[in-house]
Amino acid sequence: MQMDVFLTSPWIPAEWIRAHGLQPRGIWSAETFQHGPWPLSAGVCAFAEAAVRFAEARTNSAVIFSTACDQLRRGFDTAILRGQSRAFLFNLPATWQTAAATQMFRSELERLGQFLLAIGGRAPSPEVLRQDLLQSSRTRKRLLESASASSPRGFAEAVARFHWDGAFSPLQPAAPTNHIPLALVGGPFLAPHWKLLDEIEAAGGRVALNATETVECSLSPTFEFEAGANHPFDVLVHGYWDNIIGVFQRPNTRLYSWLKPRLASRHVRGIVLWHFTGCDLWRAEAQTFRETFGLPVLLLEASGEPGAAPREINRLQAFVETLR
Amino acid sequence: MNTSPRKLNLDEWDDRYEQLRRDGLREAGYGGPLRRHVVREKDFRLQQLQFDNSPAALRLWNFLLTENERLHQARANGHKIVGTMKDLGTVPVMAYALPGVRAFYPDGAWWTPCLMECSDKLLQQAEAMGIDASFCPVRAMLPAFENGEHFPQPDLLVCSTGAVCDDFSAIAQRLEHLGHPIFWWEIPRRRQPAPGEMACALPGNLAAPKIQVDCVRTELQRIGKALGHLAGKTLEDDCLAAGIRAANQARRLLDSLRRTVYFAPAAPLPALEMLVAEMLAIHFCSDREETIVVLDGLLAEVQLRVRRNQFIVSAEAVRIFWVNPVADLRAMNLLEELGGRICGSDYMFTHALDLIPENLPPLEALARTALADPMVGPTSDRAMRIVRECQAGHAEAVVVSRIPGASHCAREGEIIREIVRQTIGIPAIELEIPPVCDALLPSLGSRLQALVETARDRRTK
Amino acid sequence: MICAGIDAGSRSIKAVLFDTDRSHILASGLTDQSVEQERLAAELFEKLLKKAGLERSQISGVVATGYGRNAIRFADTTITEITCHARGVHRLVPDARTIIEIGGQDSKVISLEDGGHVRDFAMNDRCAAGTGRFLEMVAARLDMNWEKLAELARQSKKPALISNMCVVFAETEIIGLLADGKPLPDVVAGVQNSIATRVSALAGRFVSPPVYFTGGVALQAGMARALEEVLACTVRVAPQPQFTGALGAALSAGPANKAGDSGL
Repeated sequence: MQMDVFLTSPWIPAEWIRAHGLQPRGIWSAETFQHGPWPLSAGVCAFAEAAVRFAEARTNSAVIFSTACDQLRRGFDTAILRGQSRAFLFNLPATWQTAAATQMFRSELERLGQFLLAIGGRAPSPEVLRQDLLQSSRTRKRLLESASASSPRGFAEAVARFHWDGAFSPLQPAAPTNHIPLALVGGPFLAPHWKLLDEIEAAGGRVALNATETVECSLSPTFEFEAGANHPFDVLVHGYWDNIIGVFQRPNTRLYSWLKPRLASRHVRGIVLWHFTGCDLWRAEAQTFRETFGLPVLLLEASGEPGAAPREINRLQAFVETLR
Repeated sequence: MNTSPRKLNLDEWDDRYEQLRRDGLREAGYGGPLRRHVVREKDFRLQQLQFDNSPAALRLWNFLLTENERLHQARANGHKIVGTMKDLGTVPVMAYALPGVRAFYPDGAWWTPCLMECSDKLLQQAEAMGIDASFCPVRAMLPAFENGEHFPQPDLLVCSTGAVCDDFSAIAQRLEHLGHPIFWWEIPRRRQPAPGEMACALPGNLAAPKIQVDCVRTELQRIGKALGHLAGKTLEDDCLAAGIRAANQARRLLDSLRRTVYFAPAAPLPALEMLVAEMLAIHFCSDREETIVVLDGLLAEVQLRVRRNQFIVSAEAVRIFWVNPVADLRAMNLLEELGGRICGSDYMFTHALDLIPENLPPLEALARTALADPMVGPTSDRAMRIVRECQAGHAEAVVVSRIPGASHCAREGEIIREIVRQTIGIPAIELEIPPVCDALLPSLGSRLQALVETARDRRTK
Repeated sequence: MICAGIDAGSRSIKAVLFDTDRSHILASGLTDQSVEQERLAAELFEKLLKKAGLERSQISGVVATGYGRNAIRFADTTITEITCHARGVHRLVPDARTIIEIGGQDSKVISLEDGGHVRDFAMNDRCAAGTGRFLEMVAARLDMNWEKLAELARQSKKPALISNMCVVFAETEIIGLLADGKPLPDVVAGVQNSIATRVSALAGRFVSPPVYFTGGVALQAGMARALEEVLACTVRVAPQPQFTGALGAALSAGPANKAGDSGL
């Protein structure tokens, strides 16, 4: 049975994990990935804490943390201190416009490969990788094509499934509606949060663009094999590196370039900025979103407290009412 | 006139200053009575602080509190101003190696709300700009850039990113969105070299893979080109090597100062002045030569006090190792009022205290120094250095000071305390200290007092 | 030698007279806290003296501790509650290695070494969750007293999950649970569990048995059990839990501790 390798970020190539004969899983798609309610120390992100606890509990699996944020970076430190020996910290560069940053990403993939071999993976075959990239590309494309036409919840579920086992779940087109189109932008959006999509519908809104880290944005890597012999590893590197849409990037202009046409094409009238309590990277973008896109922005925090749900729903309802 | 060391409040310093003047005190151009900073710059917090009574300390305070004036003067004199953000000690060394260039840390604006007791309204203005109290007090730099009331607009803004704290990164990105272009450079999260991997020794008894050192060196080369372009002169290796030697001169002085003060049987200089003195290491308070003079003066003063057995905090005081700088300077006074003294410190920039290697090509040396940043590697590395320095300073307790909103504080305190507990078994507490801690003084005082009591009690067991 | 300890807490003032020669408590008492705490403390002190048949002049030393200690100007010195609870509990149960103290508006976890010396501690004094204040709020909201609350918690079959970390929001959550038909005993037990969970986070990883529970909240039946469940170890209620702080203060006024006192 293949060992599970849980990824804390969609920018850690799942295809690379599969190429080593291991099973990549988006940690956020795991049914048992819970984010509280725990009493967290002040400032600790519930998502990062959940990743640490998940890693602590699953010493037979591997967990790949990323350096995309301080919370996960230091969460990795905590996981190591608590004895998880199959944890790996993937150094995801924040800069993206220099050759050095590209080289760093490539080197990290190579280093990750060595880690995967050390935990029982097999040396990747270029042809296997190539086939997997093509398959992944097809699935991502199909999911993206159905993004604007399918129901928000159905789309979120389908993308979560993709990050869980790479599979494509056919999507039913959503019934047309005159609900107010919204964009949901921000951090990881987990299964327990999906009911917010229903709440938005009930309030008269519809998430026309789910640009949270683990939903539509996460499908952006594309793998193009030009005529001639591109080595699949190069295609993998550039497929991810050239297409990462991250709030953590510096400058994070790619995020804005990615958002702008989609907000326009889907006629979005308001942005719900979704972030875990303690996530500075997303929270800080609220005002820039308002200024750049000229749209109202509602800040919504995932605190990990189920008891906070009534307040969240109240805010959403008020937001949709004001847009109406 | 021989005056015994003691702490003075601002009123007492007015009298002391008059006396010193009568006795022939010679000051730098930026000298003068401390009170003028209250009157002119509204640094009201000075009225709540206790200061060392030496002329050397007076010079230190005047040096710190006139930085903005100095930067404006430099601009008026045609110097180029470089805002170096986040790396705390590396890029300024490069900047000062070029003639006509001054570097400063816009991040340093984080002390402005404390010094001005929030009359500056910078934190409120930051909130209006979209960065609220859930972020670190460094957010004060955002409106400082916009309103131009503090430091001059830099000609170039350089900021490290990658293995940096999230809230600073977010604030800097917001700054760029507001129209202040930033030269971003990557500092990777330092890791241990893998078995068989080529490794480089770093200052501070650390190591990193050569591939990471090479990456940082490449980034510093890029920065060097940008600085050279700004200065109108290529940053050649020999200039940079000279800059490193000058920086090391300041670092050596600071090292001697820290050893003399922290290892003395009793404290010859208060914790507050030591915190301010250490801060000079990161960018020389915009005047590298003057930093050396100021540190030299402080060192001479403490050496004299030690020779004369004259101390400002008694030998009975509990020896505390302090981690992280405080947003409110008052907290350093509070510690000593309650029976503690600092015997070691890690104010988040220990890599700016270590000597930059002079036996390596300069960019390579700086790259290794940059990677030795305690905030860039695993928290356990930082904790182990704290442990070593606790042992060297015979620390009886550790205080990890949390900076409100700072993302690194969320977890690192727990890890540091755990490792301190496991390795040397001394008590370690966390305290959160906001920019003006007056409302929290009873609570902070209780915790510090409990720590002092605990440490004292352990002496008798 | 007879020494006095006064623990001026946020909700009540406790005092103890301790005979160091015979090593026993001569008198103890408490009164509600209020604005004029020095006067209240002095009255309580006088009351105890009378009860023990003593004069003020027979008292060798008075130490004040607790939140309001600096207001007790007739005390010879002040010492923090950390040290006092450690000393008080150690005197009563020398095997204690971890002390959990939950008071009216703060909670503490104290780790002890052999000999009762404090090894380390953690305090939550900035948030009402995890303190007795939460229980008081619930009692007030349900219009019942402390003892009734405890009795109800004992009847719980399945404690409710109170997920809000903030006491203000938790109050709303509790109302919601009751409105949804959640049995009252389960809600009250859920509140106890919530407090225990907060305290366990404060304790982190430095809980070593034997664990003793002290402070006013330790008197509430069910709280020790709630702590046991989250800490996964036996938690015993210290003898006279309301008075361990005052006892520790009195001990600190005694001769054995004079040399080691911080004397701040």
